[in-house]
Amino acid sequence: MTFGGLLDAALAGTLRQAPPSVVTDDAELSAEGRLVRGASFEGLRRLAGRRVQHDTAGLVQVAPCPPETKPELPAAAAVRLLEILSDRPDLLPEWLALAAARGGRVPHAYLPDLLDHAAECDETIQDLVIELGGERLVWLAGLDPDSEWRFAARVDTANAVAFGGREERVRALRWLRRHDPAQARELLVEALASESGEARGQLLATLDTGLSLDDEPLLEEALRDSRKEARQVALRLIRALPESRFAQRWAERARQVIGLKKGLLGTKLEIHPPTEADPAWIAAGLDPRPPKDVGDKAWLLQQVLALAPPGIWPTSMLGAVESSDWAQPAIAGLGQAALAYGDADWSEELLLAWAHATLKREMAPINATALFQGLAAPRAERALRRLLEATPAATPPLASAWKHRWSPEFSRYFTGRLPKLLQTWEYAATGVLRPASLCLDPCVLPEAEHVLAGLPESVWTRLSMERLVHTLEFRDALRSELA
Amino acid sequence: MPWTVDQVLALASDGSVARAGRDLAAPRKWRTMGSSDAAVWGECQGSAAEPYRTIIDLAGPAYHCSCPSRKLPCKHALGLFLMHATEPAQAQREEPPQWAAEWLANRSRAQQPETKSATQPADPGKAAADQQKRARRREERIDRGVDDLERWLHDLLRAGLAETAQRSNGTFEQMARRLVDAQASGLARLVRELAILPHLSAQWPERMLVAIGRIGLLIEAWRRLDTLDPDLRAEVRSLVGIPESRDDVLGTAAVHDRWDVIGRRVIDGERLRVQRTWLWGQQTQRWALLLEFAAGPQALDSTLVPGTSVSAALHFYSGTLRLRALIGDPPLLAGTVGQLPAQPLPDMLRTYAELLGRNPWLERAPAALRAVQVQPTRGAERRWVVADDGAHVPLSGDSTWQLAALSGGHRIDLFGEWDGYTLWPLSALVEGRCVPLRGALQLAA
Repeated sequence: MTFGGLLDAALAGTLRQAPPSVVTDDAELSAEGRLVRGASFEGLRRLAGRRVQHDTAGLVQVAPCPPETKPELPAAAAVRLLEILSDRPDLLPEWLALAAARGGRVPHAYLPDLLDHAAECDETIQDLVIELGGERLVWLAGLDPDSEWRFAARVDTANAVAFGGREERVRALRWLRRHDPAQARELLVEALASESGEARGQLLATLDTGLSLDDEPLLEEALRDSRKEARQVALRLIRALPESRFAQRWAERARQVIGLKKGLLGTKLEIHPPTEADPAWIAAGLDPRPPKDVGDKAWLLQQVLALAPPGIWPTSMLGAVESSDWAQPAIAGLGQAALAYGDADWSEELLLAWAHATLKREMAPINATALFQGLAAPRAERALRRLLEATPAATPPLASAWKHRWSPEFSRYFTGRLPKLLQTWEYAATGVLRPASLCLDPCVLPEAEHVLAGLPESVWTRLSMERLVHTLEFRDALRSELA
Repeated sequence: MPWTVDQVLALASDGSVARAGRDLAAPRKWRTMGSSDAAVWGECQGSAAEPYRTIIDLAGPAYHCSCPSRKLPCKHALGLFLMHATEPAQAQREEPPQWAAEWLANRSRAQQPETKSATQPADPGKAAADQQKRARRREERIDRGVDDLERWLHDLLRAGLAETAQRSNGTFEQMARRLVDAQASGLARLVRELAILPHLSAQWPERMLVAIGRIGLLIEAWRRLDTLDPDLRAEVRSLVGIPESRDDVLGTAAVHDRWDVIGRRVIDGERLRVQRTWLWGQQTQRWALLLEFAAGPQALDSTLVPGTSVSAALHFYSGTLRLRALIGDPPLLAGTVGQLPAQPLPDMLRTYAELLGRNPWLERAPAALRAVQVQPTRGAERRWVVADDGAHVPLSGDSTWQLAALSGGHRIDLFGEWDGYTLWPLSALVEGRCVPLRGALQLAA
């Protein structure tokens, strides 16, 4: 323990503790000199004579990873992934989707970076990452089951749902919903019985994944749940099933409130808002208490319209609604219904109504970005095209909701109109060009370069347009590497 | 040798040129492209009216471009090279056009050995005397610095290391500056490294005492310089701050070999970035360490790519271990690294002890380990070790997860730097290929 004695003296200081003597010829040295010389002898002996540790109890035994079944992705594509992770995370969804469609796996060396990034992404991204990570990714995530990478670790789902924490239960249920929705529902019923409070809503929300009419009875039951959180989730989910009995019942009720009469001057609307809430209606999801500043009748009308499938009305009645006394609550209710039932016709019509109102600087009670986001790719392109034709100046606020990858035809149409649009949008152009650069098909690269070349040197949208061209180039390269 | 995308990116001198090169790695950016066995060339439309003419000599590799960039390789050369690595067939096989052929011809002429005519000073006798006088003055100044350092160390130990931990870096920095003034920059560096220790590990008192012991040994060795053998003397002089001059080193006999570029580590200091590149000679069976320094935006030399081997002539600095070296003539690419000079873990520690016996100040030894398992430790704070049948040593550094991912729970050969306490891994042998940890882009980021 000579080194230990030296270390004690060194820590305490030689004023307080004399160092032990290590070598024989140090008699004439000061205490500090003795300590330094001792440290050089003993210190080097320690370094050189260091033994390896044998305490295997402190180590985690690692099982070998099973062999990979998929081939590695091309090297250029893999390096692109690293670049995306560090510089262009906005392009990760596209890269992952294309790579998954192509098939293959990310090289092992890049997996830690990919896992780190995916830990903060949503489930669709995480699923793609798991698919592209091969065996090694799941194995690696399993080495540290308590880390942020646990989303990728293989879990015993039944066990996780029965005994896991809330977050773990939700994750396991969602995973199982994708693979075996019926079994997941059974486990959910058991889990709901043991949970109370807001957790019931979170658990119920897992039905979102793989939702079908088979889930209707459970949702009907949840509409009568004692907790408001659970009732709201059930109300949202059941309306995503337009065939449900719930939808049919509300359709009948709504027809009692609103009547359509064909007259000489087109369709006429007869609105009979209920004067008070029917208890049966309340039991079926209606919220009887209006918010502040909203009248009882208006509130009931909005609720009924929001709960009924909007497909029962022709979209041509919108004009009559807008000119009626009940325009505000009726439009708000129709908007909520279009969103909840995912009705593309009504969504498109209401978006146009919103755009016209915006141009007139009127407030329309319509959540336009949510409606737009709810549209599937071809319908979204059609709606956007109509908006760009009729109300181009109103489109920039919608740009944040653009998330589809546009078809080559629509991309060409958009790029062709771009010079005109840029003039219309002026300062708002920056906010539009960034999302557009992620949606446009890279095949319009030459046209985009042409637009850029046509912009005067001094126009400050030039910078945004340059970025758009650069992003298209990047995405073009990304695609060719994954072809 | 077919180049990989990663290897080409490793040639980039910084991250921005790597990214710009990636952007130019698209055929639509190039007006013409051509290739032969030995070279790739092309014309790239840039911002100027005339296209830039870029050519790469694949043996070497060496580059030429008509663009004004001073980076080597420039983004054009990098883009052309990347395309070649991804899809060699993109450039048509043809005879080089005149501008490319000219450069290639000039280059092969320049590679012929030329005889240097050393400039003779007017009066060799007087110049030598002047130089000696200067050297003596410098050594006297260092003598005073060494005395100062010893007093300072003794003060430190009188007060105790426990108190040191609470002291600010100021004490260390002041001493380091006095040593720089005394022209003992090597000692100054050792003092600055003492200051970092308390931030590095929980075992800092032990490490600091060992480090102080080594500085004490260096002080004694400096005072007895005349009694040491020439190699040890050179070692001590360079540690204190009088390195051999580049020209002297380049004047020594070259060691020709096929050198495997096995690992690279870049250490970011406050003032300086230091790049350490480890080479292994296939015939000579010896290690070589290339050190490069860069300050501020200066780029580090990226000619040698980890995972490749080159035939090159190295000139070694004097010293007891003869590790540090300089590259003489431009190296020629010879292939990829297919194996590591790996030893079982206990043998690696024995080798380290032997090296330490010859150079007690050795800070980091090259360590190639055979068939070790990468394993995590239990406990809240996750650490990693490399283990060989129950025996294990700790790992450090920022690529341990990557190493684990590459190993997949199987035994692998790996290379790293061993400092007597932990192993800092730098590359691993995966499927018969030496893979540097942290890819080129990760390093550049």
